[in-house]
Amino acid sequence: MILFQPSLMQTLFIGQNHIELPFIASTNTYASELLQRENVMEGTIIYTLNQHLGRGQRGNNWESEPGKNLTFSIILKPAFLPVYKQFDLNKAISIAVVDFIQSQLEFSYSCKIKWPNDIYINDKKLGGILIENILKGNQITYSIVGIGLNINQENFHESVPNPISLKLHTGIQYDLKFLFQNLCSCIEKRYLSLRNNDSDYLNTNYLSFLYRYGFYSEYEYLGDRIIAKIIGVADQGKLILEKENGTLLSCDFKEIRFVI
Amino acid sequence: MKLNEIQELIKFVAKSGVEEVELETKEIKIKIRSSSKGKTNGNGDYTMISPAVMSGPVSPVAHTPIVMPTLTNVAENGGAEKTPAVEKQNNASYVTIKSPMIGTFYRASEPGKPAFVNVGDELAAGKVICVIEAMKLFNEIEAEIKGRIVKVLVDDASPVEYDQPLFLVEPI
Repeated sequence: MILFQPSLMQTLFIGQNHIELPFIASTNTYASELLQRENVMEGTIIYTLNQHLGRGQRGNNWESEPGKNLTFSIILKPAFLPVYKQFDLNKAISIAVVDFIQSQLEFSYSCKIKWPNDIYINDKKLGGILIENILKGNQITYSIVGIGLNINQENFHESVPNPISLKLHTGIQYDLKFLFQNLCSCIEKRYLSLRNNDSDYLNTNYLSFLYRYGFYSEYEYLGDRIIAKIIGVADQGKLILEKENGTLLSCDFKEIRFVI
Repeated sequence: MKLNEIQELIKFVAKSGVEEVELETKEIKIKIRSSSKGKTNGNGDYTMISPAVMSGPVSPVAHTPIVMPTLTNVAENGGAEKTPAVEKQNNASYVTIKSPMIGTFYRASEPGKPAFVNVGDELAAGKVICVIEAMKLFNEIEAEIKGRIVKVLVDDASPVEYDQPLFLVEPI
């Protein structure tokens, strides 16, 4: 089975160049090593059907059964994006992934972005996004966008916190090739919109796709249980919460935990 | 104590030729160390900037960082072999690599992995020297110059500000 079928691709540059690997621990790590050695075309996708150990944030790994999920990395060159606005790239990619998942669902609003980089269906984790930039001076030379989404996997190791797959949610067995090209199109569309500097549009969309946006829920803030609601995300990516007494909190992801 | 009073004090200490002054009032404690030029031994020493020690109840004034030149000897420098002409330029010839962003500074790709670079390592342009993370976005910082790491100025896993010096590099 192959993931990539050129005749299906409807993109200008995302996925037009691709590297298929038979077996690899992490496509992001491979991409990072590749970029140390050579120049790579923007939109190049590195994928494997056998990614067994995706890399989440520093040391947090997740498992994936071979051939059942979408796990790949896209290499972008967002030289137009100032370093301090890099969270906008995270926003654009997250929106694109939600666009894609929502297109597969009957009740599209059940898919949301859980700040800062997870994709949820209702209260369960469908996947995540891991972006690694390469900086030279004050310039982003490359971004490696790693995406992992549970698609056809039905069994998860008990150590994985509240997982779900598209199949577990809908009962449908999916054709990965078809989903893959669809996801690439969604990403290209949102990436081009980011490049056109459409940040108001981006922000409005991002908030409307944000898990728990605008209503009171339970969080753990610096070790204390609190009730608060998400009212926005600051330019540099901090989550803005409002407590019931009107106090505003601007949170780094290490300071806040969603109580689910 | 007002900011301009502190500045005056620093100027006074610098002119006086005294090496170190400690001053403590009800609200503030200041320690000023000076490096008078005559005392430089020219043995590969270099000047680095470090914040003066301040403690006591914090008044708005106390938030203003006061930076004082102090003299620090760096053994790794190996300056003793150099000619006097080169030694004189040592201070100026080091290059600091600064943080391009606010975030958390990491010296290795993952906990437990070896550091990207250590003191004494040679750098080539394009080599990854650290990672700075902000809101789960990871930024691999590449060296822009060829050189040798003289000092790592920030501890692993600590927060860094925009433009904060991270490494001191001797160009080669």
